Amino acid sequence: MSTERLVRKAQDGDKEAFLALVQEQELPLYRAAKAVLRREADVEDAVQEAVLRAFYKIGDLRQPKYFKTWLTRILLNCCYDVLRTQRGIVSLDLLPDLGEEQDRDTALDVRETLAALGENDRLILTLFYLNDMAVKDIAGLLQISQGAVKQRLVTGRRHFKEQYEARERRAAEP
Amino acid sequence: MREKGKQGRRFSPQSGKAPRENVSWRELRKDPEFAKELASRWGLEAPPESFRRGMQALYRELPDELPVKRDPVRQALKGLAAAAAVFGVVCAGLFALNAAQPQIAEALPGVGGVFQALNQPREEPSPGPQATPTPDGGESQVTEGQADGDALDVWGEKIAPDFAPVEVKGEGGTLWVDRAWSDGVSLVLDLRLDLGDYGVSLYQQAPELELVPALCQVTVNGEVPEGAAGWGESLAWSREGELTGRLLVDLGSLGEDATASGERQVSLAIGEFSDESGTLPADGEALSQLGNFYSQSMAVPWVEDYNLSFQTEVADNGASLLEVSFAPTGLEAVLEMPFLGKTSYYLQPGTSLRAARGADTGAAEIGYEGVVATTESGRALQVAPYSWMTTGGTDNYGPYNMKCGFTGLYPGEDKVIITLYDASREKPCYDEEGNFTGADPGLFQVAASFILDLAAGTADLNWDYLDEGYERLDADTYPADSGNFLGDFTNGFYVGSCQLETDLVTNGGSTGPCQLVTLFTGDLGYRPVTLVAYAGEGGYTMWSQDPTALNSYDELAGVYYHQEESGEYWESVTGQEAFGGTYRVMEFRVYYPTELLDGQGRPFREFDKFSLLDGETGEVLIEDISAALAQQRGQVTGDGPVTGEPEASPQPAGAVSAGEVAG
Repeated sequence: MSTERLVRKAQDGDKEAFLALVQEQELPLYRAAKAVLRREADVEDAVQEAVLRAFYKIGDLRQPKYFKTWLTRILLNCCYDVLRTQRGIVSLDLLPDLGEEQDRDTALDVRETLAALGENDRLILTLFYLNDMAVKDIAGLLQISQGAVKQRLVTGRRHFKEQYEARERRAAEP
Repeated sequence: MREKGKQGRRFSPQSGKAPRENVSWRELRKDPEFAKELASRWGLEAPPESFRRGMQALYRELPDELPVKRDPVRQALKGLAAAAAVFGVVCAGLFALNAAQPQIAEALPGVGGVFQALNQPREEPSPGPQATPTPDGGESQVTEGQADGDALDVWGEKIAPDFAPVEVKGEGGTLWVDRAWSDGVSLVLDLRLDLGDYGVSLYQQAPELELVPALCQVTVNGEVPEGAAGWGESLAWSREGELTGRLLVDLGSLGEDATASGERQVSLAIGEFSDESGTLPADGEALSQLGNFYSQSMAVPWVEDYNLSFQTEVADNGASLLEVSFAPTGLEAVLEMPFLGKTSYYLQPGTSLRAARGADTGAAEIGYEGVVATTESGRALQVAPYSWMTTGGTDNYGPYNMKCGFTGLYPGEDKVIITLYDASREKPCYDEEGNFTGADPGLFQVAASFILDLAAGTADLNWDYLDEGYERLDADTYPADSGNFLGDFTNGFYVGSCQLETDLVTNGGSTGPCQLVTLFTGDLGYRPVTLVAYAGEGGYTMWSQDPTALNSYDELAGVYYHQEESGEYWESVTGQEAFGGTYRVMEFRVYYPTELLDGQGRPFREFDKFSLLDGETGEVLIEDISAALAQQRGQVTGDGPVTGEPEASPQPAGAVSAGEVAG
């Protein structure tokens, strides 16, 4: 059954349809959350919270075909909530503008966060290569331009290449 | 010049494949090994068991039914679906009755009135004001009530009605400033050059003569306006012996004088005049003596009362109108355009391998190039020379600003409509002189349209174009489906280029003269094809190559390619998403054989024809690649052959046929 049909059934109250949708997204959700958070416990919390929010909010989804992106956005919000709770540091670049109230009064140290976590590259690479998301959807999800997504894919690719080559060299050493 | 016949070093990587770092980030998506590696690096291969257990527990805890809000409208509609089906049948029957027996339908209780109103003859609505921009065909389209002359004539009459002509002393003729005025943005000088008796005779010899002031300097209150190169019309004959024209001087910061309106002391110096038309007779020696004109200071009216500048936040389809400035000498609009890619990202005639791979070229951004300003009556304003520029965006792949200047607004014309069409280099709506050539609703779409109220200093979105037959383009899919750059594929191949090149570089060295044939195909798998180049009785063949078995490496470009005696073969996959998919780019560089080169190593004749054959079956895929390219161009520009097979160029006499060569 197509995603759209499942979403419509879920919006009519069918729990099985909802579970089918979510279970299909378990691995992508896990990967996206892991790209932002580090600890397994935090990842589990964020994903479960996201599923719970989606359960109660699926009626708000106007375009069922965007279920995956919609769910991922909820997940990223949950991830940011976890980060905020833990250390009060959230990257501005990672905060999507969903029209929801976002608490931006917490301390923000964008550069430090990004340098330490390298989240932008990792998250975008994960969404694109592992979660098979389109550039356009990633851009919409993270509220950045498509050009910025592509730029980061190129940058991230370069970083990965450097690490890959370093590993190859180490592997080649006697 | 390259050494003919030199073979590249054969590549033999341990894995048997070219290293992945040479493929694009987009192509990596198709590589499951890369995804595996990425997942492994970051511990994302599979969630731990605790994660799965946690999710299962959550699923069990969720309520049995989702607490969705019942959409009452949706529920009602569902219930009415069956009733609507019946209702539809009844209505169809009634309308059929009305068509056959209107007097009976009109007499039916309850619904008769409906049919009475329906059957009343309707008056056709009178056409509203034509707001579609019309091409400026060189004739003034001044609306009724406006004075004769162009807009600046009218403004000049309004601002400097009492200006007395000033003689500017010089040699070879008499120069007059018939009128001078300024709006604080530009200084306008209407010039008249009287050449006396020589001019009368020159008029007969060179009726198309146009003279441009050279070595020109203007001062305002003793200061030279910065960057005031001046522009304007050439001086052309207004009558025998006399030429007239206009000089506009950009005042730059000099126009920001706090004293605003009033008068300024202006002087003018013109060192000489140059012949813009190229029609001056060889014995036009008198013109060489024309020059050294210096004026005394003249009092010039300076009126900024009509100037206006405001900022806006009107936006549509990613384009925003940011700022508007108006002065009698011109209207300026600053727009923010979305970044939709570069012209090099998309398939268009002339696209080469490097550009198609998304290399950061100097190519222009793709945007809504057709920015047209019109009055409310539909008269298109002129593009102000040298006023259009873009800033930002190029390096950041983000939105960029575009500043556009227009002239031609008359006093009292307070409403201006700025419309953004999906024009492009291949589908322009301006000619080289900045004249609007029209935007056929069948060919152009509108990205956004803004209406400016220069009296109120406001701007808003304008939707009138929808009533004029234009479609609003979808920024999400533009320009992929705009048809701007793509013509028909021929047997699955699109011709990017087929041209003689002499400056191509391979491994830092010149390739020598070669024919660059670039083909695009949506088939990303390897398919052997043969390119045949005909020259007289000879044919030269090149074969496409398996991209995993290329025999040469370009250190500078960082890519593998294939080289053989007849040329080189390069291949890549488009670096940017093009038209909903990626394309394999096949670039053949066919070396010119010695027998086609002269003593200096330059081709004295070009190849006659190029054909593309299936490498295994010999089937002709493209009979004539140049003809296919011409057809594609015709489809994009609307000229040339657009239907059927590409026209094949005449087969050279005695040439070997494609089938024979392939066999």
